[in-house]
Amino acid sequence: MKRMNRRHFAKLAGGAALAPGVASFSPPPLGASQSPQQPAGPPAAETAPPYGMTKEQEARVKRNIERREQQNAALRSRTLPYSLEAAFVFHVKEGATSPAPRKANARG
Amino acid sequence: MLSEDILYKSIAELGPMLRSRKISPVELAEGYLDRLEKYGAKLGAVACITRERALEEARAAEKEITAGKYRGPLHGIPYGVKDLLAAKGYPTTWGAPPFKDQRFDFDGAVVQRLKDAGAVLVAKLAMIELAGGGGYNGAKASLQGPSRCPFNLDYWAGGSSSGPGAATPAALAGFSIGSETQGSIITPCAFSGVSGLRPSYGRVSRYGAMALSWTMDKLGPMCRSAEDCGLVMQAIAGPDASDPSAHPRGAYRHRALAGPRPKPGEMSAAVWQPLQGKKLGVVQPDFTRPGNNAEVGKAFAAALGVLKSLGATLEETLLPDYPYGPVATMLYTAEAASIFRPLIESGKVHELVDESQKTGLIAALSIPATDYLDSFRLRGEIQRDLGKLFEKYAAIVAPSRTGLANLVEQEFGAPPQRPAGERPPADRPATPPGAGNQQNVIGSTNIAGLPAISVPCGYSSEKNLPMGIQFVADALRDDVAVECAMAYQSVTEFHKKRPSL
Repeated sequence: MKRMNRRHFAKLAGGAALAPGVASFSPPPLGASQSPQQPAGPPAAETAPPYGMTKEQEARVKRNIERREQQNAALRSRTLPYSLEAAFVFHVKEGATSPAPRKANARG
Repeated sequence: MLSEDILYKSIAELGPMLRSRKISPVELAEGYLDRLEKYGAKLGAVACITRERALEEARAAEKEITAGKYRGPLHGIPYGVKDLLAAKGYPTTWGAPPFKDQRFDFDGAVVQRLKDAGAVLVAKLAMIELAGGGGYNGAKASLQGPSRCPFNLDYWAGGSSSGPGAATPAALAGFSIGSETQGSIITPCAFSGVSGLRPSYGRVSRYGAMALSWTMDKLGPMCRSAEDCGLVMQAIAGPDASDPSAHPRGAYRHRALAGPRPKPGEMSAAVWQPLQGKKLGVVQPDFTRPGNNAEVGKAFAAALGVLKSLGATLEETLLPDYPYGPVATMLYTAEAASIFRPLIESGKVHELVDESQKTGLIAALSIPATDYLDSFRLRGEIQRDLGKLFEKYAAIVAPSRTGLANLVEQEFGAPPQRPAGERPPADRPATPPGAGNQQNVIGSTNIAGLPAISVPCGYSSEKNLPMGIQFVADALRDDVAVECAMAYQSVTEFHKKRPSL
């Protein structure tokens, strides 16, 4: 059997949980940091919570986001040096049109 | 029928018995299968017993050993895996109701490697749903129900590798495989009296394992001795093209330690001194702080005395000051939100058992990318600064957990139950913000991908709850951590204590 990599595996398995006929949901809830300005609109009470949440669950999500914002204050208060890159590296992968790699023992 | 004495033996003891045909792999598998049937539900340890496969693999092992084809120390040894690892044809539930019918038609890399080593899969073991990625609020956050500490069934086995935590010290298998993103091997080892290794990141292939965090997930052995962890690592570690995180130099060689190696049961510090002359950095928590347990403090102090008696030099140290908690949580929750986005958007997230998991995963969808990336930038500095500790110390020593296991019935958010006369936290001085950073061993070392082994170092006087000591080593020096723990276990008996079931 052809082996798949882990990311493909996760995608496959995640998809396995999907059932047909599941209702589509509203856009994701916005955390405080993502919603600096809300345009005037209908009162929130008229909008159903996204992802099939109950009002109580929506309140919990908001509390969760608020708690995270507080915790992240410690993270955001750090001044990161300009030269500090994220600790992962993206490598290009050589494709069909890439020049063939030179063999270590190739001669003239 | 094999005696309980045999079923409680370590891999290092069972291996020679199997090789010399004093016991048969089929008998051994049947012995553990019977215990899984008898005690599995009581302990909440089991997701699925793989009887048919176990007997097939055991018969194959018996045939090979009889024919003189001995594969190595795991040949014929029965084991269980946390139910996040694919095993061909059997349910792989990830501990979560939305995945209760999920099956894969292949074995995860670890299961395949153990098969190649001749080990016998006897069970898929219970776990906290989705390895707790959304943030769970108690022992019951699992499709399989709560897993219980075999030494006191009113208490939780620890998680998220809760099934391996409950099954291993109760001899429901010869060993088990757990996973850790942020404490999920170390915690059940501490709470249930298990010897378990969280390997260096990338050392053990995660192909076929549920992904919670691509950059933090690790799979590792949970056993009845530190030596057994080394033996299992030898079989499961190493590069794998199917897992992009697998380290090219990930292979592990379990080695006989310096000096004449005593036989099992004959270990003696006089002939075997792997800690002699080694300098260990000690992270000493303040056990008067709320949530920390004074008995753990006493057990840890006694364990340090043992390490000194083995020739180690101890020096108190602090970890570099970083916000480990927020960084670790940011990394794995953001990745979990990406991984489980289909679950959330389908509405199936509401089938999860634990309310905190549901709302935690939904909330994680709104993590700003800049915060995630900043965490990854800090991660590089954390890795560099933690690495400097190992220029000075062979290993870092700390309590595995500074508290004892929670009651199964108690939600994590609820106020802890206290012995009579103990003051509530409000009477104590408040913990200054950030004070725990420099003692956050689990958070910091998971961020840096460092290996750690936890072994039992005592049992609480009143409730008989296990306590653990952990040894953290430099990246890819899992062998050093194992060696320290083996030395400790050569002169202590805590890992041999059996629960009364």
